[in-house]
Amino acid sequence: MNVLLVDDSGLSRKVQAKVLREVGLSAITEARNGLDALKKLEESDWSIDLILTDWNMPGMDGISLIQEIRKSPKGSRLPIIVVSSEGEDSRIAQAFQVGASSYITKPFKKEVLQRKIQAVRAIAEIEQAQQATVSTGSETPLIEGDLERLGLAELVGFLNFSKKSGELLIGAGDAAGMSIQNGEVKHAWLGDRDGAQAFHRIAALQSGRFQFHEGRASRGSTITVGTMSLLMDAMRLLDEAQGAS
Amino acid sequence: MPPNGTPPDLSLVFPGSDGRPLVFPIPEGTVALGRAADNDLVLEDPSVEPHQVVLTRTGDHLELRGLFAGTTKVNDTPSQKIQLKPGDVITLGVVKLRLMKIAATKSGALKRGETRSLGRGGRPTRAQRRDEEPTRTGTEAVGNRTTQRMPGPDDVEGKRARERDARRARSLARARQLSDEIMHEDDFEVVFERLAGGFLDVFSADRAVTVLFEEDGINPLMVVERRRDGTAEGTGIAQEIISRCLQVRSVIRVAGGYQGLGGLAAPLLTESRALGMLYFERVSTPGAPLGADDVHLMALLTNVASLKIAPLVR
Repeated sequence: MNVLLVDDSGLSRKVQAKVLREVGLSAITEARNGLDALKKLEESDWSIDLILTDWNMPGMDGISLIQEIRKSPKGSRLPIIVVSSEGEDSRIAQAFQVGASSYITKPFKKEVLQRKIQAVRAIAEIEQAQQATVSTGSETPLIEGDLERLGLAELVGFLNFSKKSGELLIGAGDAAGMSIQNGEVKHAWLGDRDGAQAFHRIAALQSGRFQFHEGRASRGSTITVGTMSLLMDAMRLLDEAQGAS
Repeated sequence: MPPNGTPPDLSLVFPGSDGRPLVFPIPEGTVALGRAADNDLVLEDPSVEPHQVVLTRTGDHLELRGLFAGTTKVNDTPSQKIQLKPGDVITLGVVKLRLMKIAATKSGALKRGETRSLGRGGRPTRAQRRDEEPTRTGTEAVGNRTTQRMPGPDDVEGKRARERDARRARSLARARQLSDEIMHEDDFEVVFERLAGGFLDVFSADRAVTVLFEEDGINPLMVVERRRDGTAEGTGIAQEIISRCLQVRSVIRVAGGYQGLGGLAAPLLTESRALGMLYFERVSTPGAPLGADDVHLMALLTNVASLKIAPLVR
């Protein structure tokens, strides 16, 4: 797996490269800004499997870089993690809107960056498996996995970005889950709870199997806020819960 | 033997407010010098930084380590780390202190922690207050004799003092061990991890955080967090603490919080920039409030960490 590391801080690149190597990713190309990154992508004939990019950089910033990459058919599905000191919800939402796959704020903890990297790798593997299923013309594509490997925030972010429609079931049976239409979460339930409250409870789960059944009809319509702000609220509640523990 | 029975020993000599020389005998271990009241030797002069240097004495060996604050010179040469010998003149700001091997008279000697008003000289701090208190149980050197006093109602206080001294000795031993560990480590990330983990022992901390900055010396890049329960979860360190620490450029106290937390934060400094910072907090307990010893140890470890980390993150 080839990784492109984009940051104007040499120390930041050094630290992130070390984290990448610790999760087995040692094929690393470094770039100092967005323009440099685009040049390195072309030079490698787009044989990059994951990009980690800073936001604020001289020349071309990380957001413009993502926009340029998403314009190209070769870069439309490329996993991109934004690693930035920009921590406001509106800024994070902006990054996702232009096509970031995941987001982590500086200063980061090594463990959290590793989890994000593993999550986007898991999504990439899911997408590859889906493409293989579609190409063989078999049954309706199904995404399944473990929340321990792929956090719910990343999973919902991926479904949102991919504009998927269907039903996401958590754990055995259908005691917990959510209905998604065109990437937007429309309904969530957990036991007797439903709506945003159920979504936040589900978002706090850190283990358990999940299955996404593409094409299944929605069971209800209890959530009216956009999925991005739903995710932001969930992440903030998780942070607060961790801080109080 | 001098008239008062005290053998010649390493001491700092400097002028008092009345122009007469004051003598500060340097004890074994670590003493901190600076303007703040929690130093072992308080130098009340605006040109001196709150926490400027630390002296570490091992027998006749005496080492000065600057805390990257203010102007520190030894024999008119800027110095941040140097072995000292009798006759050397240390200059902190505009205050000059001469290192001498002399016998202090009982009336003229300033003890660790003693407090006395000075002009351009020094104001030692805490211990004198203890020594000036009414007689208590213990052993006191008088002339060339040792007088053992009878036990009195202050036994409980004596026991507390012994416990405090034992705790202090344990912390110092662990701090030295931690210092040795990081000096032998060549991976900056492991240094940060060892510091965070070590702080739980040295300071009996409940949570310890180390932060690495980007090259600009302002933006935090990476955080290592360790908690007493063995997890790495937590909220890192508040931006306002980082900002205040960078502004003061010295050890700062952090108090409050919903659990009555007390903590210390200190920047990792070189002469050109801030490399990061160290922070710990612990739930206040009546027997072990954060004291000057914690501040000194924090300053010492921060200094050692800065020296170690600076070349690793270039």
